[in-house]
Amino acid sequence: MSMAARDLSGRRVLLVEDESLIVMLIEDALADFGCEIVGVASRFDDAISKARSLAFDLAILDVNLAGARTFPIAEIIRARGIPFVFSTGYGATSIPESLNSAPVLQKPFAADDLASAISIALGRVS
Amino acid sequence: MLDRNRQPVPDDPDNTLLDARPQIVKDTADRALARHAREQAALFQFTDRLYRAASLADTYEAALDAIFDTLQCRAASILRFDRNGVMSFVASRNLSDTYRKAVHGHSPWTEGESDPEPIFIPDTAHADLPEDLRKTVEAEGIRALAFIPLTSAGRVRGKFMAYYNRPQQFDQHDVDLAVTIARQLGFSLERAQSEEDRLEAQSIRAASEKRLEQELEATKRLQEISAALVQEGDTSAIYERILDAAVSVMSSDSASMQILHPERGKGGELNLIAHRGLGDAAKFWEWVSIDSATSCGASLRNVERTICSDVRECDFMQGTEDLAIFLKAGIISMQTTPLLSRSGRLVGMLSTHWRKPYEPPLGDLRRLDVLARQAADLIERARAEEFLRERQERLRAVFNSPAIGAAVLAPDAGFIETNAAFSDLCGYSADELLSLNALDLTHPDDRPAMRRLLDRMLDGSRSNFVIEKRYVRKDGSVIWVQNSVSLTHDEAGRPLHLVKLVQDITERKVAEKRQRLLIDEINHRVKNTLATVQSFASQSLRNAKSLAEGRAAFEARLIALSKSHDVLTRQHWEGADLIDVVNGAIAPYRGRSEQGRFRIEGERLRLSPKAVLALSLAFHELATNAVKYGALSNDTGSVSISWRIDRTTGRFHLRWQESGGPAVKPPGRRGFGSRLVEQGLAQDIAGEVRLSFNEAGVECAIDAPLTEIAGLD
Repeated sequence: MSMAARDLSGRRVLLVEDESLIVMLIEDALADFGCEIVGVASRFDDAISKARSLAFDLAILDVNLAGARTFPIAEIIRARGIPFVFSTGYGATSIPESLNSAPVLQKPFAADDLASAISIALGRVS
Repeated sequence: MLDRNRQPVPDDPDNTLLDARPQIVKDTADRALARHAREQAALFQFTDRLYRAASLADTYEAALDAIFDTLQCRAASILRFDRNGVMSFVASRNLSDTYRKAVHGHSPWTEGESDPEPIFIPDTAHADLPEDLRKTVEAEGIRALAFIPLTSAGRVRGKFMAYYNRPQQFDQHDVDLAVTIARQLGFSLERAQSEEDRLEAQSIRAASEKRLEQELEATKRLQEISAALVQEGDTSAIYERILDAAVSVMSSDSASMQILHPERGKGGELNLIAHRGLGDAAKFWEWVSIDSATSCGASLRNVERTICSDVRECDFMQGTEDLAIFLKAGIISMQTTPLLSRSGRLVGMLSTHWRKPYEPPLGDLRRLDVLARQAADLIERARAEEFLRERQERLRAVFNSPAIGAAVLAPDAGFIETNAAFSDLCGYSADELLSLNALDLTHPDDRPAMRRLLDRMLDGSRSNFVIEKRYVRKDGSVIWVQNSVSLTHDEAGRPLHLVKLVQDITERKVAEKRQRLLIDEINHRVKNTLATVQSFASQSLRNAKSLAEGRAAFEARLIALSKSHDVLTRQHWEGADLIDVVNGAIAPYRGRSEQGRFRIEGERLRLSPKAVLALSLAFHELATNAVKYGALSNDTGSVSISWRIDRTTGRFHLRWQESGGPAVKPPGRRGFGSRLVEQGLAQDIAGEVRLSFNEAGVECAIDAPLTEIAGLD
């Protein structure tokens, strides 16, 4: 386990991702980091309501959720002052300007990259 | 004394007769009477002939006969002062050329002298003559002469001469006879002369009138041609007029005009464009090359006027087919004048032909030169116009292209002219466009860029530009166009027109957008698939008892994923039927057992691509487990897969039920397979998945909203 990941212990994470296998992959990685997954959303409406209602320290957002962009969800999370990380199969250029300070993970990514991205996101907000 | 017996002397250059004649004949009354009668007859005959004389020549002949008959001389002549006042022979008999030449101009009187007296020289040997004249006279064998003046109104106009080869005694009778003849001849000549003068004057007047008329006619034609040239007109009609004028100016029988095609042959070829009166022969000279044996060929060689006053004597034509055809066409003489443009370039030839040997007068040629200049101008202009017309036609064809909108605009971008394709493109008629500006048509968002490019072109920074922009059509719809704009200038270099070619590229733009989306989508799918594979690898290895087992599980899952992709690919990733997904998942196991081990039951259901992938992977995990531990791990077990759709609740129910296998023991630890089926599938189809390890056989119950799994049918 990397140094970055060690600091993530106990962090509460909301995961917005529609591919179940990738959910499992990230779940495993986050579990390794000692993070607590407070919610997984693979549907847009579900993600919106979880982004608004759940208590979490960080969100991991797939840019494309069953064909829809998750930027409105990111806006909600940003408005709550909670850091987040984008994961995407698209290039970074497709992120709107207002949201492009968030780290972007290009799929597929290694567990260490995930940890670094989360650390950067947490560091920027605190 | 005078010898009265002399006989008329016939033409006798050798003087043989004269010498043989007896000199003295006895004078008798009878003879005197006879001579008198003969003289009277001769004078009477002379008078009669003078009256009937049709010409001066007749008059002279009559006079010479009378002189011989009456004066019995050996030779005679008639001389008159010519226009220059020189006494010149007009008729003579029995005189040598040498003598006539030697005494030409000699006269005892000056022209117009009053009341001249006849002069008789009885013997040259004793006469007071200049020495050279005496020698000339004696060389001719003359020993006696008579100079008889011919007068008109009492003034000397000429003389007649009688010559003798022996000394002669002239008596009064001889003088009277000579003066009588001279008077008669003088009157006659006066009359004939005045008639001749009248006729000549008349003929000169007629000729000059005709000449004047011709010149007037020629001038008129030249002016007409000038006028025709100034007006826009049918070029070939003007060629015809030039030919008519050439025939008229040159008084020729035929004429032809040729245009030089410098690009043909070596040194160019002449093409006959019009002719007058050449008939069938014209065909032979339709094209004339530089080595042609014709006047135009010669003029092509030396770029000078060629005149053949008689083709039968023209060096370069001898023995040629051209000559034969000229003669067959009745052409005997011709001239060719090169047509030179103002810049001195040879553009053609103007030829005229005659049916007789003929050398055209200088004046005619000068007038022809005027005509030739006009013809050259016409050819030049016709060529320039032809060139312009062809180019305009080409440009017009381009402008009227049905595929590309074209427009001519003022420098302020206001439309001046548009083609039909442009109207089709923007929806405005050509008339409506006249009151519009290119920027009016441009989508507001694209106007600044368009304005910038136009300004840069107008300030000279660039001569043309291409822009892809949007037009707002008359009906409000938006299309994408590619605009190619270039600028033309007037003679002073000021911007004159914008020329604009417009192509509708909406389809391309839509296709580009679609392609961009497609690439994004492919990228997204590929990356997600790779992440899926990453998850497979991670999970397979994490849960495996050995590396080999992990690798085998990973490979099997990868192949299952790939097969589900195959199913989707066959349907263009639009979905697949559930039955095909089930059959695809169990196919690897079905092959090595009898058909009876699987029972499949359910109505046809079209699945979404996501459901296809999720169910395929779930069935793979279930089947793998069945083969390893469940109903398919012995020879007797079977698997029932059945589903139904509850239309009232809108839910889908599927059951995987194993039976006949070994007694099932619940796994000690929940593996990836279970997780994938229970959590993964449930998440992907937003449903509930219950996996039960019942002792009688593994059971998997799937319950999902139809809307989540059903695809477009």
